[in-house]
Amino acid sequence: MIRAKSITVNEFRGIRNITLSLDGKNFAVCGPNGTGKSGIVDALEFALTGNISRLSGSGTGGLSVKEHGPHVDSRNNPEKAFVSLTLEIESIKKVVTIVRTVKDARNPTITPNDPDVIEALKTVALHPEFVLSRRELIRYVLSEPGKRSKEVQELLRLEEVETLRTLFQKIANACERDVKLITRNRDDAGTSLRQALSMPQMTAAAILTAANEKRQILSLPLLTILEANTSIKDGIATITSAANANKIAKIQAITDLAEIKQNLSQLQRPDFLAECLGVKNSLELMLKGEEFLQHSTREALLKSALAVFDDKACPVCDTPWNPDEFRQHLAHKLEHYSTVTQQRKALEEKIEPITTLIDSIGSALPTIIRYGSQLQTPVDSKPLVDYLAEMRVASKALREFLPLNLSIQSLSSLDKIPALVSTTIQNIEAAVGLLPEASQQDAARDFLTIGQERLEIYRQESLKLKVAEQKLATAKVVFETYGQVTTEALESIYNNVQESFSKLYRLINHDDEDKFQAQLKPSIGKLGFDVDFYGRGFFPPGAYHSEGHQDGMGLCLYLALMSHLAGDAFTFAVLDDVLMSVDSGHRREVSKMLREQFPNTQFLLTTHDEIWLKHMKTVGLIEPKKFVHFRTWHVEHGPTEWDDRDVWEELAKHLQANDVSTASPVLRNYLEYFSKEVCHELRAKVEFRGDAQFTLGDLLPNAISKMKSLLKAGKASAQSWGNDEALQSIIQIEENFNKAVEDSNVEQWAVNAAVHYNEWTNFHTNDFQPVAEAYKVLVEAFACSQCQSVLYVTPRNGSPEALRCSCGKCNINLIVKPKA
Amino acid sequence: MESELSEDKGVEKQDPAVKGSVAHHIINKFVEALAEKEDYKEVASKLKDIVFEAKLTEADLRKAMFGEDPL
Repeated sequence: MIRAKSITVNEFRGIRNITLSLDGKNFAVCGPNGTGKSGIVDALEFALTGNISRLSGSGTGGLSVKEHGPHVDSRNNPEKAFVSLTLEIESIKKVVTIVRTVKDARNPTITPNDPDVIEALKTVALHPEFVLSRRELIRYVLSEPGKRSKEVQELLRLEEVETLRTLFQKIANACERDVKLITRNRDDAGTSLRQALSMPQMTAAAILTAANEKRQILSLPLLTILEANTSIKDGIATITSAANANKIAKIQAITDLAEIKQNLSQLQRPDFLAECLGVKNSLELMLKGEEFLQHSTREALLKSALAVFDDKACPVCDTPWNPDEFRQHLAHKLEHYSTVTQQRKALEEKIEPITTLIDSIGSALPTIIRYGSQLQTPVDSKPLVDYLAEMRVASKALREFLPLNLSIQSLSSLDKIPALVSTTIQNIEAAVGLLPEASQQDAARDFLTIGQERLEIYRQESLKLKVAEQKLATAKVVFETYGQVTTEALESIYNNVQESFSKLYRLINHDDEDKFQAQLKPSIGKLGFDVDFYGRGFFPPGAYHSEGHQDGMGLCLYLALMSHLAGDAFTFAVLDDVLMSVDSGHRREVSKMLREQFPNTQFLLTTHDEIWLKHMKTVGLIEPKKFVHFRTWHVEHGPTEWDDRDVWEELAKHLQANDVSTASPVLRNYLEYFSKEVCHELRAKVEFRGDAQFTLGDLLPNAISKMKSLLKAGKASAQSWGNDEALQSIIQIEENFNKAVEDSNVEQWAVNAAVHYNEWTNFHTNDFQPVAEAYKVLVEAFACSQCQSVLYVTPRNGSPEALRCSCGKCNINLIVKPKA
Repeated sequence: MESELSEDKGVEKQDPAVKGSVAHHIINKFVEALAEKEDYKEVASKLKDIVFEAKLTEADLRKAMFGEDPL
């Protein structure tokens, strides 16, 4: 999305003042440890997000951007500490400058302050993962699977997927609970209606029969059909009621009182008590294994663990296990779970009639309590109110089953009906008995009135149940669809990341791991990461691979994840000293991989290693001048960079100061490095040294010789194909190259000690200057005049086919036309 | 120069219509899948209006799924 054009850092972290021109291109910051490289990384992050991870992540207690962001000498003047970053936002094609001070980090000055600019920068600020440091590499590669899953999901910003899943699951669970509760309420309302209408079974026909019997007494028209809005007491208001009609329907009250007395007496029947005692004893036997029962939901987890076990380590805690022992251990646990689950189910079945009786008493008591209060001389029903509360507690405990001691306690006290409860019921019964007998007509009217009331309640509960069932169906479909889609999408992401990662890693290790594969295995909130080790099997990255290889894996996994995360918007990344353990050969390949696989991404790379910097330049990852080299750092001055930024300019500076003794090793070291690179790129033969300590004399003459032979082969090829234009071009390159070689006198080393590089230190400035200039020309003669990349032979193995440069300007065919 | 990675046949590209993260891309796929189910087009449409909000609550989802209204 963005490309950094330039950055100015002032009084920030270890930097006093510096301006870097990145121009939207790859840029390297090189320097020994402690010279201020990380200050540049911090400044970039601060400008874009207002934060500095180094001062705010885990293990940074006591540190803060506000207090420790400014240079130590400006800690009391945070307004002086600022970063000005100019960048291009590609999506809206605008160049934007952000100026952010430590004093007011939350309110940067953004120019232009357009809405689309603000929106784009908000998105960038939400993605601080554009900075990759070695800490992150370790997080991705070596962390435990559970943590890695979290880290990777955070990088991919997948936490929203999990948040939404949790919410959908919560809603589905709540709907299921609602359906259970409302079903019970509906059933209780049904029982109550059935009792009121004295029906053995509740059907529409039975309701009509019961209602019509009473309607006939009242001379009301008979009902022929029971519909959703049918009132069984329809027309009752037109009938004159008895003058002193009671609030209590005497007959119904007598029925209700008889019902509750019968239910209460059931609590004390020997067969019921025996049943309760049996359940209670069984529950007491289960007390020892109660903890196991509490965790019986782990049965599903154990089954999943068994299914995904990879014969190596427990998929939950990663403890290594012998496969047979692991399976036996889980099988034993699962068997135990199966036994206790079956025992629980059997006991719950025995508990069900007990709770049904308790619930019947619980649903009848409120009516009796109401009768008590409606009597002309009310009866104090408090003992019934207290008993109702006890019944509800007992019912809840038995239905929930756990904890066992609550269920046992409930069963123990069921037959102990408080004396006051019986007395109160008897008092109400006596008072109801004294009520005047209702006429047949009044009784019929009461019957229909109460029946209609209970029918309404039943209808309301049925309606509620229907709505709850519809909600449950919707919640289930939504949750199941969500689970299916997200599982497929995550598996697809991990598969793609796995493939991209493997491909990138193979590119940087093609010399010895060209068949490398990796496995990213998501399972139950974890992300397993195993890698192939030379065809011997898949192991965790830290098992056998070297630290350098692990660094490479971390970088490749990060790049693969970022490619997937941002797609074409992956235009900017900061790689903060991420390859310190990678050997030089593989660093070159890393540079090539970054340049070739991520041509649209601007990398800002920091390194403490000059050779790594040189590799970046040699393979064209960074263009000439697109780097800054910090040499020293001082608390008063901050980092000191190489002003000339180039070995030739540095040499010129030394020679201006008549300092040949410093200049000569710089030239020699550089030429040694450069010659190694050229020998590698041209596939030149070099006499083998077991200690790998190749001198300039071992390398440069062979590089020159190889270049000459390649140009000769190029000419022969051009002639064989009759390509005169190519021939002339090669001749021109050859002439320039030969002149450069001649001027450098390299080929005279063996016969002329005076120009041998070992003698350079003894030269005067005037003698050394032309030597340095001649070698500069020679170095340039190995490179493309347009892109400055060193020419290289393709393919890397087998017969050479072409001599090329990075930009394609130079492409010399080495294959001679076969003779007809 | 064309990146080799960009040529991956299996690599899914983000729907440019879906702003933001991979998570949003996945959630959008869910909404599309739900909309294809019989009787769930309206629920999917209502969910689409809210699932990308930063501070999504259970009440918001229930309103979209069941039409529940606090009043």
